[in-house]
Amino acid sequence: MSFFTSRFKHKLRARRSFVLLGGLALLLGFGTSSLQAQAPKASEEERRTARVQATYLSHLVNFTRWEKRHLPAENESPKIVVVGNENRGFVDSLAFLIRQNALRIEGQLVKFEYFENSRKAEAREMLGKGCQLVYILPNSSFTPREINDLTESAVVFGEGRGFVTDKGGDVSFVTVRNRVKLVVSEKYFRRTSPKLSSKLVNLKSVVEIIPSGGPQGPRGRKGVDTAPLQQPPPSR
Amino acid sequence: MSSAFFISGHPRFDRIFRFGYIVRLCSLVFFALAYLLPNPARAQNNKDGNRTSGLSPFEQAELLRLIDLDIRNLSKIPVQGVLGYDQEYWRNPASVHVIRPEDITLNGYLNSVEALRGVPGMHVTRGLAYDNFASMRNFSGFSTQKFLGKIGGREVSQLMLGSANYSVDDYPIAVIDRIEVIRGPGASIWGTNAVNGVINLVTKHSGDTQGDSFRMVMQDNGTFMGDYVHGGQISEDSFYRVWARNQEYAEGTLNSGLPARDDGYLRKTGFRIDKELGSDLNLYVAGGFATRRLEHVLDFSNRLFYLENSVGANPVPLAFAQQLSTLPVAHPSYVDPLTLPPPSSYSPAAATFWSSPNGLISYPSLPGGQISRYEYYDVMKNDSANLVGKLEGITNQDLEWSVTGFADYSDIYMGHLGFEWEQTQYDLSFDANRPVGDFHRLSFGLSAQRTELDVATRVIEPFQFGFPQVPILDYDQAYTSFDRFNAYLQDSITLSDQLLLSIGAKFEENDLAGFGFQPGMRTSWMANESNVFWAGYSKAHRQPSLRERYTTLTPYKVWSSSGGGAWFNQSYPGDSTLDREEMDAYELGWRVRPNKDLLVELSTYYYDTKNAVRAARNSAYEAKNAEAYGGELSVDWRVSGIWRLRGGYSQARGKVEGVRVYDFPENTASLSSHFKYSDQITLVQNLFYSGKTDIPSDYNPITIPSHLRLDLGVVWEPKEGWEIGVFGRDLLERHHLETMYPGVDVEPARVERTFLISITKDF
Repeated sequence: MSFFTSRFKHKLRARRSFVLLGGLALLLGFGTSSLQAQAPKASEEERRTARVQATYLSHLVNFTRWEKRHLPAENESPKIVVVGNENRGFVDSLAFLIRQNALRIEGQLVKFEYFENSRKAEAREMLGKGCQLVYILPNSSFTPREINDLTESAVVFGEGRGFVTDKGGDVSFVTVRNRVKLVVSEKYFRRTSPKLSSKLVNLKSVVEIIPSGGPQGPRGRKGVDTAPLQQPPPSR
Repeated sequence: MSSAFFISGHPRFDRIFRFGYIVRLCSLVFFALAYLLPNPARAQNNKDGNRTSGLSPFEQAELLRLIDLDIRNLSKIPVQGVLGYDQEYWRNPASVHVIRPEDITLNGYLNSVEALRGVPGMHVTRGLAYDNFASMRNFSGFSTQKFLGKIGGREVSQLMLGSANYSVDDYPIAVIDRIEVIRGPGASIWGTNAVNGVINLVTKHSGDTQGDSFRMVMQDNGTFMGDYVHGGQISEDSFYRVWARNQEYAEGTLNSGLPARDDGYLRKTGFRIDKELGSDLNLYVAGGFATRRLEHVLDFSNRLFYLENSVGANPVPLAFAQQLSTLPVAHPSYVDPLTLPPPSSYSPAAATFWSSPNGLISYPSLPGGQISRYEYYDVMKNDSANLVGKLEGITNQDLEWSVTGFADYSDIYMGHLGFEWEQTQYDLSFDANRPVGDFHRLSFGLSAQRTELDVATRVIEPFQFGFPQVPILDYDQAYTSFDRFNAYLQDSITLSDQLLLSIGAKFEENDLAGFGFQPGMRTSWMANESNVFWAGYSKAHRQPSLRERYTTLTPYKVWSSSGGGAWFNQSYPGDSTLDREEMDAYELGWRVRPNKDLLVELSTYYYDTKNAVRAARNSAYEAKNAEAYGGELSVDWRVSGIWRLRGGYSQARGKVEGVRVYDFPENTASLSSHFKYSDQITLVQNLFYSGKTDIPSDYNPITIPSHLRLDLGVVWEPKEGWEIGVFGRDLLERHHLETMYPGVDVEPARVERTFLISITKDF
């Protein structure tokens, strides 16, 4: 039986490898412990999360339809606005993708604006003029309700499940099981503008849909014009 | 003489010296370039003054890759990667090349294995019957045996030859997500046979292949290949696809100019069903069936030998001896005609194989100037079927797990050798990984595999004389069932923002390789935003193939003139005591991305192998110690929005017992250009160079000269999703040789200049 013959034949060689590996493991173990004691949590994960979020957002723009009444005049660009402070590279990633892919809303090239918390007044002024998508960073003092009061043409993005379930946002990103997923308010599918394509309804493991009523009752946009949520027919 | 001479004269010091030299040289180049190059991210910041400047070039390039993913695939991107799994992560401490479906269609490749030609460190050759052989950083033995091949979740290497037939196991391009080519051993994750590397073909989720897609390729010589894929939705969370391929092979030409008679067909069909059982709980079941028929040839011109009854005489081809018998008696090479075998001893009837030569071969040194050519043709059958199932999920504790099972059946008949084997393989594996604290991610797994064989042999017509009559390949029927069990554990450790480390080992009990422990350690260091250095050490095992261990090769018969004369069989038995090959592999690499449009990678390696199996003269195979070292340089440069250049150069050196060998080209290079002339038209150019190789053989080694290959093509996209390509391949010469089958000495086939048109419709 090869197990018995070979096991002892290679015993010495295996032992040498064990010793070598064990020594290295010990050395690295000590090294790791001392490093862990000093180093802050690595930001690599956060930066990657931000890149995935920015990519999702670019895709979702293409899955969203705005009626003409929610778009700017022909000589103006639709706007994507980010408010709040961050250092994970989300704003950089989004700006890169918008520029690199010449992102468009209803055929018009998108204009990207970013306002740190210190420029809240400017942000309010910009939002008041109307925009198509607003991303509220976690440390921003803006709320979805406030955004909706300023501009009713915008779909409102944020982070964390509570952003949709409690605060009335349209879409939020959550990180679960080492993956970035979406929490989407059902109203974003139901209303006529801005409206998310019902194709996303099928992606159960990606998208969690929160009923319009939500755990906290109806919130969000004033005077929502809704249509029944229908699933798309099977592809052929 | 200098002291260095004495040191390098000793084999051990020689190896250490050589590796030390590589390390020093690379270190010097690495550090010089890393610190001499300006920090491009910062430079861009100043120049552009825009927000994207806060991203490193690697991050920008990753964003461009992510934006090509749809939402389903985006949701599968792990936030925290696992070294060894997440191949496209720029900090991955390994030499990785990823081939996309468009790399196949845009370059006019017929199938996926042809696309490996452009991968530095790989050597792809075409032999008879449209079979492509791929080898990687190789230096010893039959070219296809030294890396692990995984296609669609299955391990496709046959135990008999230790190799895979990628032409048969291939998938339609439309269902291929990517082909990961990992050079170098990844022992702790991949295990036995991932010695020189891994080729992992990953297929798409059926939800990503909805609708209809087809591809047709027609060559000027009559070869045709057609793929059709249809995908649909069963329910809200279930998808399916079915596909079929028909390939008709036109007849090729042997090196001698004779027809190869390798015309035939390959027909394949397959399916895949994906079901989402719950949030982050997915199941897929896939299967396929393939049948291929064509003819294969075995050259018999020099398979009958004559042994003169004198001390120290060596056998000479019978055809030579027959001509030497016509010389004057006083000639030193004269052979007494009475000692030659009577024709009736090997050609008892007028209509036998030996009475019907197939032309003549020129031998100017012989009195007649030529000898008769004998070619034996017979069918080569390859039928196969497989079924794969994979259940994967992620728990709320972040444990990512998968259970994969497959059953694989193949029936291969090599009529020209009278050798057939049926292989049935069952495999079940469990893989998982989960974070432990903030800095560790543990990967672990178990797998069990059983392989059963049914081998049949027969004596083919040319050797149906003399006693005993034995087949060219004979198998020891005592070995028909093989088990393999293994387990692995690996920890991916984040030592700091810059430093990653993976350390692990695979434990394996294998009927062919015994009990083994394959440790591996890899580390990567992000020196700055555009430079990554990595290093690795692995101990990898390769199990001997059944051909090497349990088959006896009888490639020719010898007439001995002593005692009135008799035929005997010249046999080369396999060696059942052949131990597993054990390789200590050391690698160093450097990855630099000065900006998002330019990526340069340099990988170097040194392999020290014990018991490398080699073709031998007195037996079929023997185990020897070998070493190999070399490196690959690859460049991927998007010169502008309309022009992309990719190139590679690799240098490889191999020594067996201190003697330099050339069974892998010492220098290979490639250059690929895609120039988008307009939105609809892309001009394609591919140039490949391969240095000369020696094909080892039991008694007839041959040299394949170096060759340069130029392919040109034009791809027209008349509308979205459609692609029409016209390609000319091997334009620099009418034909050249690339490989032949060692061991049984099948005559090599010409690789001829071809023109082809391909029409592709995407989903």
